Amino acid sequence: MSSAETETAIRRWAADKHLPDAALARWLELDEAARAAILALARELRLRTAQLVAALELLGEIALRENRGLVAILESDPIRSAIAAGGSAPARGSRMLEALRAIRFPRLTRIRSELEARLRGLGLPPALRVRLPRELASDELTLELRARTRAELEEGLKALERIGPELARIVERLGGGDEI
Amino acid sequence: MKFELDELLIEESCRASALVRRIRARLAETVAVSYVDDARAAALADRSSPDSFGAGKRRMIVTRKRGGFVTACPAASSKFACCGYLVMNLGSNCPMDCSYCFLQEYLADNPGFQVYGNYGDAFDELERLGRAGAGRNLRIGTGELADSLAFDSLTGISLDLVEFFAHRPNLLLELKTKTDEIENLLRVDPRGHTLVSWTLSPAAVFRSSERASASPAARIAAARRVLEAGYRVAFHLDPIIAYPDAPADYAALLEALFDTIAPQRIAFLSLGGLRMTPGLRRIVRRRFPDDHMMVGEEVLSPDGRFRAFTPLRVGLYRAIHDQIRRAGVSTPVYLCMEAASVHERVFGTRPGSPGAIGEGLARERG
Repeated sequence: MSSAETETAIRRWAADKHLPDAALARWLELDEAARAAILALARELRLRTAQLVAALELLGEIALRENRGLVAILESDPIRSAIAAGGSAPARGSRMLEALRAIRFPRLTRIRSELEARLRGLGLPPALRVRLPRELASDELTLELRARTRAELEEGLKALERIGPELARIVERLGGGDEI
Repeated sequence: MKFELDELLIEESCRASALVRRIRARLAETVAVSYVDDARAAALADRSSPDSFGAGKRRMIVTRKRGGFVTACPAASSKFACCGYLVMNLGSNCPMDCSYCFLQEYLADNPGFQVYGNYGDAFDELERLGRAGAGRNLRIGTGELADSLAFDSLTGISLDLVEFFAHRPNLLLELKTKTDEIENLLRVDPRGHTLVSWTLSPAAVFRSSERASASPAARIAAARRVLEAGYRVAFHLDPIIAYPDAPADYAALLEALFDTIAPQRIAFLSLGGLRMTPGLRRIVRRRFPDDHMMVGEEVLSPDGRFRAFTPLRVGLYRAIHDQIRRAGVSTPVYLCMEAASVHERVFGTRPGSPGAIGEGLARERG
């Protein structure tokens, strides 16, 4: 596809999906190879408008943070794996965005994964839920205990007592308690 | 360090002011000077400019302040553990151009670089404040909406301020700067009532994000000189940017600082993480698309600002605070625009009231 043909195809995709002007401008500012690679991805994964906007933003930020080209980022192992994995095109699109976020926010991803693993390891009963703050944007842990019967309540409270020390360590970790 | 201007606009009501006489006597001949009846329109953003905020920095406007000069710190909030800082606005905007500066959003509609010809009226307010606050120590700074010293070689305002505060026992002036523009300060005796504070960042942040400011080494050297001239000095590590090398770079910065200025001679240190409203973040991305420091691991926090995610940010505060404590002295340290829970995590105690913190910072250490 020639450069002009790529641009025409991008403009057509943008019109069909009501892509905001700013996002279209950002797309068209990219070099020829990056523009075409994103177009191919948008078609293959049938990206929704918001997904494409997010992908453009994440790619631009990763490129700046890591001083890498967009095509190199798209060809990196985590992104290729996410795209190549099975499932529907929208599911692959979501996984691709998740992989981009993991590259864009490496320490956040690592710490959140570690905390989620610790929460899974608690073996919580169904009546008890523990939620981390969204994107670890605060130091607040949310506990939810649901009970309809006295037995359910006692089970939840017993579990809470059992996991208390580990929850305390998780709260400490949320507050920057370990090495950064 | 000398900053350049494109033009000087003077409101007619300020034509005969001492400030205008000083500026005109020292201004480069190449700068165009004009007079206007009402300078308010001149301060507005020039929407035809691709960077109206940047253009505003090069257009000095001497005008009359129509409201009061002294206010509570605009960043103060019941959400945060605040320091009781009072702000005296003698100007607005700044010739430096830091990527993270909140003025880009705060002054977006009025970016003209304004200095107030009637700044002498602020002294009446200060007199009243000093009397009303008898028995308390108050810290009043001029570096919130402008750098306190950036154009001091032109305006000479610091001389009047230092002289005034020198005779007010319960008022402390804080001049906050990123320059090494201290020559005027060396000509007057502050009598212990002026504190000069520098915002300090590691060299990597200075190079990427603090355009036209003095280097960190030059700021520290300037601090040493004013300290020797009888001023108190303090430092603001703000914004702290949590990039991958930040722990080592902030450690090196503090080491360089403490090598030059003994920690026990530092009045206080403040810490504040990079924070941007969504609006400011959009402006930063547009004005500084190549600044890699501005694409850190910031997420939208409960207070509506983008900040480094909490374990990262608080962990960095703790590392910096630990290093300050390891220096072996009890230099007061406070956090800017952080919640009480963050204060507790970093310092191990609940914060005091803003009044109590402010009192402690304003009082001279024994």
